[in-house]
Formats: sequence, structure tokens, C-alpha cells
Amino acid sequence: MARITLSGIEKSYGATRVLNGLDIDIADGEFLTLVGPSGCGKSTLLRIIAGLEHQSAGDVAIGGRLVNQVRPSRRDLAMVFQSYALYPHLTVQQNMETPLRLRDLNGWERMPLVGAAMPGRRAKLDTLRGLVRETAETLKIDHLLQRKPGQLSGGQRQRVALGRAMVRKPVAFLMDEPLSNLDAALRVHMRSELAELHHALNTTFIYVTHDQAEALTMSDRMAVMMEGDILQLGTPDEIYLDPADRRVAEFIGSPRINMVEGEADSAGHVIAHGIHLKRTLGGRHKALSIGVRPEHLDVLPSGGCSESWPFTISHKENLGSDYFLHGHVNGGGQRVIARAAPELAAQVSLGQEVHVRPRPGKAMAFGADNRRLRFVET
Amino acid sequence: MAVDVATSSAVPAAASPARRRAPAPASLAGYAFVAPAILLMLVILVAPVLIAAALSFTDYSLGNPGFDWVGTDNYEKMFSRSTYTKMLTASATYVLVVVPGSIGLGLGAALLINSLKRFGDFYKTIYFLPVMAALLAMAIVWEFSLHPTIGLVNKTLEAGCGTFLEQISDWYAAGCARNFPLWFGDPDYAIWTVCFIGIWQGFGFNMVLYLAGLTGVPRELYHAAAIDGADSAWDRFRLVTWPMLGPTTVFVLTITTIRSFQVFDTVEAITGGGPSKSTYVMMFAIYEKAIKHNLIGIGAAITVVFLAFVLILTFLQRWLVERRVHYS
Repeated sequence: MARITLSGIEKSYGATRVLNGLDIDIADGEFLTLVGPSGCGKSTLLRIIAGLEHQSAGDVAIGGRLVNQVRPSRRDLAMVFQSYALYPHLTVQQNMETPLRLRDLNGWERMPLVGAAMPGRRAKLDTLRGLVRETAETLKIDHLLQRKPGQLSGGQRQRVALGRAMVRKPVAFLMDEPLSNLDAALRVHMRSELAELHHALNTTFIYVTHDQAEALTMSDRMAVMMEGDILQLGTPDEIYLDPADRRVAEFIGSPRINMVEGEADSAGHVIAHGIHLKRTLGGRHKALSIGVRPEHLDVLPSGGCSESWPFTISHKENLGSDYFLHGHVNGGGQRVIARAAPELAAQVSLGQEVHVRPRPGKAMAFGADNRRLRFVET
Repeated sequence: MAVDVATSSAVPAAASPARRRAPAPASLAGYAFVAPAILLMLVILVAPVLIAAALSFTDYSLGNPGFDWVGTDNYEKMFSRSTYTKMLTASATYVLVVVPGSIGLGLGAALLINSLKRFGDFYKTIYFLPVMAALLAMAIVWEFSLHPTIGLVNKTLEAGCGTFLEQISDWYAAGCARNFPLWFGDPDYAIWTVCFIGIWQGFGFNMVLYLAGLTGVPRELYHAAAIDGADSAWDRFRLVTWPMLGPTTVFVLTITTIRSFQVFDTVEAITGGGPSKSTYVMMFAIYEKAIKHNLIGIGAAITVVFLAFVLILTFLQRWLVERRVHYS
């Protein structure tokens, strides 16, 4: 267990910069998720922490020790890869033994024939076999120990990869999109299992994903990355309810947040697509976007009011517990999604014109530079 | 197509036992459709082997009106007469030296080239040159280079006489005192020289196969190995590279062994099987007996033994492939 500190991490490949000076302080035992679209540099950052790549500038410290020049194996981290990266020619047992053998046996003891004759090797092997068995029992894969990775299902391979990481009790786990090769149902199941595992091990987890749902459901804190920058670092609630940047608001949340073009006059009164918001901004803004999440749009089937947009329904998406109503406001080209309860959705039909109203206090304003604009507190 | 016809008719036939006795006409049609392919296969691929096998039990010569069955005489000769013992020794020596030599060098060259950032293509081309060049033409170059009096190699060795080299090597001192080896003329050296040319010629091909194999090794496995503590190059090689190259190695091993059994051009061009049959390899023996001396029977017997070796190796490969190196 250890605190991991990144300061001023930069990375360039030739002339291409992929990380622009990142600072993160990861607390001991924290579950931190790096989330962002592909190509945002999140995996590169993880590999820099692991020591598989070298940063162009900046420092990585693990437990207060600067590890810039330390080999990956000496950083005492474990990593779970997207492809699991299990050794296909070794059994599950041997796969899980590998990190222990490489750490605990010396070069002679690992030799194919000479090794067997080395004194003390048996005792060491017995110890590490015990550790493997213990870990396998925790992960409920002890019945698979004699199989090879090729004979396992995706979910079982996932567990073996976790087991190989856990078996040597590292100070932190690094996970590079470990769930993206699983099918949807198993992915949801493994999400909760990983969160429980984190709770049980009480070790630092650094988790990379492009799936915002994984980030929201598992992390203590999450860092939203884009184009080599961390746009926002905070708890899932902060990121979801109080995004600091338009790109963060758009990336986190499914379906995507609705963005409606608007403007603010010199007094700060906001007009968006014909309706006036109650709250005001600090000053005049020519072009801004008003973001409203689908669950914060109330559908009014019977009639509008001064704060509602006329809304033509073009598609009804049934999720069982909820309906998502897709449509256009004010007959314009802008597509807007509103969430509605099934009883309400039953009352409206395709092509019908209803009204939608942003729930008071839930709309967010973003400037032309993507930055969040705060409403004046009243 | 033909198979479809046959199976679709087999289903109802199996379902009703009454009709099982007489084959349905559609099923006969299926056999008729495959017949030409089967016939061609038998005539072109299987028949020559069977004929060779049959001839190996005769004393047939080309042009003779008839022949006598001689039982296993030809085979007994092969395993008792010193000529054929020498033939088997020469072939076995060649295979046992050239196969590990050219595979080891090929793998080493592939690993080195794979670790290069630049000039990889340059080295690939150079190492592949001997493979592309006709061995017969290159054999003549080697014959010149290794000529005992005017050859480049012995001239270079002579230039070293009188220096410290004489002190550190008895072999070198002896060479200076009398003469350096007759590379192709001395029974102690000839087969090894032929082996050397075989390795020189063959390792580039293995290198290319290994380079192709190396591109298929997932990078994430090396990352996993680095995290797990495989810090030395040897550990990485043992944990990742060598196991992942298993399928390539089996293929390379089979191809190289078959090619080594088939060595002919170097022997024919340079040594002619000599001196004192030390380079009398199987292919050359078949050629000499069956073509030059017109002893078809014994030639056929050698061919059958040759085929048996190759077949055993091929089955061994199948068995290895299924057992060991394909992990999924």
C-alpha cells in the first residue's frame, strides 16, 4: 500500500505530445480511474506509472520514493492488461507462480535442470505454491489451476490475470481496460466484483477505461482526460453533477447531456432557444451552450409554460424502467433527449408535439471556450 | 458439392432402415463426382511412390525386358555394405549439423535484427542473399575460395604463419609446417565443409521465418513479463519469446530437416560424393545408383528409406503441433 504521486508528467513521441504536464496525487488505498476517449493518453500515463514507458519530463513517486529510474518489476506494482497477457504455454498455476518465481528464486534455482539440485528450492516452491492456492481460492479459480489459458472462458482468464497480479501482494494495482474484452452482462458483474475486491484488499487501484459507466460505478475519484490533459479530477458525483468543462459534461453520462445554444445579454439574462432562464450569469456572453441532462428535462404532455421548449417526438427508446424520448426543440435541427417514466411515455406518441422544461437549478452554462460558466447565486 | 450430395442422401437413408441396403442413386452420383479427383490423386501422387516401393524389391534396370524379385536384398545391402553405411553416416551427419546450426543462426539473426531500430532491412537482404542465389553457382565460388593452393581461405591462413597464432593453436602450427587442409579433398574435412556451406546457405531462410514468427508475439506479453520481474534478456526469451515461437520452430525444424536430407547440388558440384564416400549423401546416392549406374532396384530402395525418414518427420511434426506448441 502506498501513495503514488505524479508531478509534471510529460510525454512526447517525436514531435507529437501526448501528455502535457500532469499532476495527480493518489492516496493510499484509493480507487482512481483515468477515463477518456481513445487516444487521450490515459494508457500511456498508466504505462509510465508502471515503468513500461519513460516520461519525457516529470517525476513518479511511489510511497515517497522517486522511481523514475527503477525497473517495472522493482516498483512493486501489478498490472492487469486488456488482453490479460497470460502466458499461453503455462498452466494457470504456473502463470500465477511466475511473478513469485522471478522474485523469490535466484537465477540458479530457475535453471531447468541445475535448479532442481539447488538446496532450499523445494521449501521456497512450497511457500509460493501455498500463496498461489490461497489467491486462487479467494478468486474461486482453484479448480482451474491445471488448465491452460486457451481452455478458459474470457471471464475465467480475467480472474487468472487478476490472480497473477494479486499473488505477490503489490503496493498498487494498475488496470488497463481489463473488462473491455468481456460481454456486457459479465462486465457489469465484474464491475461490482472489482469494487468488492478493492474494498477487501484495501490497496491502491489505478484503473484505465474509456467506459464512463465503469468510472462512475467503481471509483473513489476519477480523472477525465482528453488530448493529454486532465480536464477534471474529482469524485464521480462531482464529475457528473458539477462538470467544469463542456467536454467532461458531454463525455460522462449516458445518454449524452443535451446541449442547447443560447446567449446572455448584458445583464446576464440567459435566453436559450426562445426561453428565458430564471438564473443569471455574471455578464454578457454572445455564444454559450446550456447543458441539461436527459433526467433533468421534465416532459409536459398537456401544455407548455414560459420556461419550456416545444418538443416534437421522433423516437421512443424503451429501457423498461424508463423511456428516453428523442426529438427536436422548436422544430430546429437540434436533437434533444428527455427521460420519462413509462406511464408518461405511454401518453405520448411519435410525431406529437409536447413541451419539455429544464428542472429548475439543474441547467449548466458553458462558454464558447468550453469552460463552465457559473450562475450568480441568488 | 459432391460431398453435399452424398450426405444429404445419407440422412433419409439412415432414417428408414428399409432403404439402407440398396445405396440411393444420388449417393452413387456423389462417388461419381469425386471419382476423377480421386483417380488423378492416385495416379499422380500415390502410384509413383507405390511403384518405387515395388521396384525396391527387384533388380530392375531401365531398358531391361524384365526383372526378378529379389526380396529384401536391396535393403539388406543398404544396411550391411560399407558404401551404404557411409551414405547413412554422411546424411545423418549433414542433417544433425545443418539443422541445429542453421536454426540456431537463423533464430539468433532474427532476434538481433528484430531488436534493431534501423538497418534491419539491410541485414535482412544481406542474410537472405545466399538463399536467393542458386546453390550450384555459389558452390563454384566456395570451391574456388576453399581451393587448397590458390583459394582465398588458405592464402589468408598462410599469411598468419609466423605470428602468435602458431603459438596458441597446435592445429595452426601444423598447418603452417605442412599445409592447410584440403577442405574438399580430405575425408576428415569434406563433410564438415559441405555442412558449413549448407548452414551458410540455409540460415537466411530460417531467419525470415523466425522474423515472421516474432511479429506475431504480442507486445503485452513482454510488458507482463517486465512487470512480473523478467529483467534479463534470457528470462524474457525463456518466458515469452521461445514458447511463442513454438509453432514457427516446429515448421522451421521440419522444413530444414527435409531440405537437409535433400542436399544434392553442393555434393554433385564439388565433391562428387568423395573423398572415400565421406560426402556420399542419400540424394547423391540415388542419383548415382539409379541414374548413372542404372541400378533402379537399389535406387528405389534408397528412395523408400529416404521417404520413410521424411514421413516420420512429418508425422512427428503433426504430433508435436497438436500436443505442445499450439496453446489455444
